[in-house]
Order: sequence, then C-alpha cells, then structure tokens
Amino acid sequence: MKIFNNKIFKRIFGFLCLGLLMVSCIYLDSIDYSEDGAIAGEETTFKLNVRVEPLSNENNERMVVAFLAPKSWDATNNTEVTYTNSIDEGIQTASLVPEDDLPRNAGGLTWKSAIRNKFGVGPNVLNDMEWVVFWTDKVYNVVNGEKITATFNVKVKTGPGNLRAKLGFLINNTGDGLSGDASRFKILYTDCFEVSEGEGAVTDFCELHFNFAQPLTATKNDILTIKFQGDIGENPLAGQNEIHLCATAYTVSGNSYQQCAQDDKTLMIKESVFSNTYSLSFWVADLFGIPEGEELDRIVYSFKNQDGSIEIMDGEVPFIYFFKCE
Amino acid sequence: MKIKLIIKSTLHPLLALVFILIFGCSKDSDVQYLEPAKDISGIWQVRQAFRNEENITDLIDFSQFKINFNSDGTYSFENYLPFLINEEGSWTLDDPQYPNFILFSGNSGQEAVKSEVSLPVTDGKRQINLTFSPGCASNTYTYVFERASE
Repeated sequence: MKIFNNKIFKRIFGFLCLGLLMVSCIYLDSIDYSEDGAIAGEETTFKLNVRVEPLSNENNERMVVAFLAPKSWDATNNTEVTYTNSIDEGIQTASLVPEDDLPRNAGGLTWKSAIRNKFGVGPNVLNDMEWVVFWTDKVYNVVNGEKITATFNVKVKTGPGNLRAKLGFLINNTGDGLSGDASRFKILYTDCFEVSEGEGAVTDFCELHFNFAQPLTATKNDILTIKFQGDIGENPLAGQNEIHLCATAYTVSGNSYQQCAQDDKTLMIKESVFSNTYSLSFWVADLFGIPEGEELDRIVYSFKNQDGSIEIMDGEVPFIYFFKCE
Repeated sequence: MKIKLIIKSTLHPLLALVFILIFGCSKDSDVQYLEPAKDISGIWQVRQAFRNEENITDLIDFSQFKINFNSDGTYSFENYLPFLINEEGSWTLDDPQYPNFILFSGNSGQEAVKSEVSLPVTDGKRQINLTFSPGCASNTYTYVFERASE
C-alpha cells in the first residue's frame, strides 16, 4: 500500500497515463496538382501526401480530409476521394462524413461548420466557398511508434465558370476531432488555381480588385452588394466626397435599364472611416425597374464621383456582373 | 454487536427512502396543460436579415417592409422586399400549437409556397424566423420578424 503513496511512483504513473491519451502526429507534406489549372466542367485531381505517426495505440480511427472549393463546383456531389497507404493493399475509399457525426472537440458543431468557423475561406477574398468533409470508409487500429504514409486523391469536377481560387485541404482524424492541437491536424492551400475556357468573366477569389460583387450567382430577385474597394491601389476617386454606382442592366431579351444618375439611389455608403471601401446593396429588380417577365443577363457598371467627372472602370471597359444561376 | 451495527447503519437510510417515496412525490394535478395555439396575427417587421448567413440587416433599409398576418387568414405587404412569395393571399400554419411550416397561397392561384418556420421568444417577445430563396436557389435568406410597434 505504501508504494502507491510514493511521490516518485505518482509522477511515473501520471506520465504513463498522459501517454495513454490518444495522440497521433499528422503531417500534410505537400499537394500535387496541375499548375496549369483545369478546364471548366472537367475533372482535376489533387494528391495529398500525408504521414501519420501515432504516439499511442489507437483503435477505430478514421482519417478526415476536408476540401475547400468554390460553391459553384458543388463539390459535395462532384468530388471523389480515394487513397492508398502503407497499411492496406490497393486503393481505398472515403465518403462524406454524415452530418450527425460530430467532431469530438468542436462544441457540437458539424465538421463542416467547425472548420468554416475556424478557418473561414483561408486566403481567398470572396466568401462563396465551402468546406466539404470526407472520412475513410475503413477504420484503423494503429500502434504507438508506427510510421504510416498515405496519398489521398481528391478528384473533383470543376464548375462551369472561369475562376481563380486557392483551394484548401485539411487533414485530421476522428480521435482528435478538431481539438486545435497543431500537431494533430494540418491545413494547406494551393497557389492560385485557375479554371479556364468556361463561362463568363473570371471570378477572382485570389486577389482583391477595385470592384467586388456578391453573391456570385443571382437573379433579379436577389439582394446584390457591389463594392468599390478604393484601398487596393492609387485611383482618381481617392479623396472624393461621394462615390456613385453607374450601372446598366441588360435583359436576356436585349432590353436595357440604366441607373446612372448621381443621386440617393446610386450613392454608395462608406463602410468605415478607416477605409476607402464603399458599398451599395439593392434589390436588383427594384433598383433598375425590371418588369415582370424580364430576366437579367448582366449588369455593366463603373464608379463615379459626385458630378460624374471621374470614373473608374475595368481598364477601358466597364466591370461586368453576369446573372448566372444554375 | 456486528449485526446490530449493520442493522443500525442500514435502517435509517431505508426509513428515509420509504419516507421520501410516500411523501416526496405528489400526484400530478388533474388539470392537463394544453400548449396554446401560436397567434401570429398582426403586423410584423424585419428585425434582422441574413443572406447566405451574412448579416445584411444594415445593408438595405428593411424598416419600411412589413407583412400583415390578418386574423381572417389573409396576409398583405407594405413596401415589399424580396420574400417567399411576391403577391398577397392567404396563410396557414401546419400546426397552430407546434408549427413547423407556414404555407402562403397567392391570390393568383399559383402553387402555394411552403417554408419552415420557427417562432422563438426572445427577450419576452415572439419572433418569426423564415428562411427562403426569393431569387437564385443557391442564395438563402433568413428574415427575423418582430411585431411592429404601433
């Protein structure tokens, strides 16, 4: 009995107990992908090179792979995840994590919500992205000291539109469940990945521009927000008292409706005294007076000062917002 | 002695347990509690608005937009903004006591529009939360309504 009261024994026992907590060190060493980008509407594959080094014996573990993609890709329905590893023979499969299977350490949030809350859209500047979360179909029992390598193949069909985005990948395991311990998960983003030969103007998730419009897909009955981001670079509108939106809406049938008077309807609101970002949000059909039965194809727009003498466009041409809605 | 100790150590807890079982739990009252029907009749205005989970309450002027749920089952708008349905008509809740859905039927006879509804009470005031897509289906809006002050 006396040995259990011994201070040295307690310290050793405590250390051993600590070691029995489920711990694996996870490494996402690199992502292999085509630096030429992809063709819109076609499949492309991202290979994730992963290492797992358990520091304790762990049972019934699944690896979790989360993928950040533009919403227009509908990655939930257009992504296939498979993998090979140093434990199994052949190609293994992964599936979407069921919504009601929550990560262990995310306060009741789903995997998708917890990752979005923690990491947002990473280095991307537009919000129209989503995390799609997969886990290995197979569960694993691993032992302390094991060195496991794996290659995950994330094959996705890109959306129909031209865009540039930094795609994100997160690796975790169910035993950890987003604890936040940096040794137990890894997240990496690609460089700016380009999708070309698709529809419409290029939506740039990678870099800020003078113009900004959200949501990226809309109809005339949506509330659209257009911003002038004057802090991006030097521009002749800097220091002006008022910034106005000057826009023309074109319908599918070829009619046009203009809203370019420098008045209250087009006056953009300064977002903060500390920035030169101005925004205007509006119900599209109402601002342009689009009648019933007409559908919109695009808006072309620029930014002007109070008397219209200074105008900023996309170089020599107006900015364009296409009304895409799949 | 040992037997006496055992009896003594267990008798008192046993007696306490018997006492609690007899007197601790009163019988349920014969009066049955009935969940009241949720009354949403009246004029409602937008307290908060979200677009794809982004708060857009301050981006446009929602203060003039009102919906009037009349007690005769009809509804009307003031200063219409994008909503579930773009015409006036009649409304019903799927279950007045425990509503999960609200149905809007426009006067033109177009197909009725159904939406999930929640009626939480916040700060002692009933709210109506509706989520819908008035434009592109990929965009979801949530309006949180509160009763318009007279």
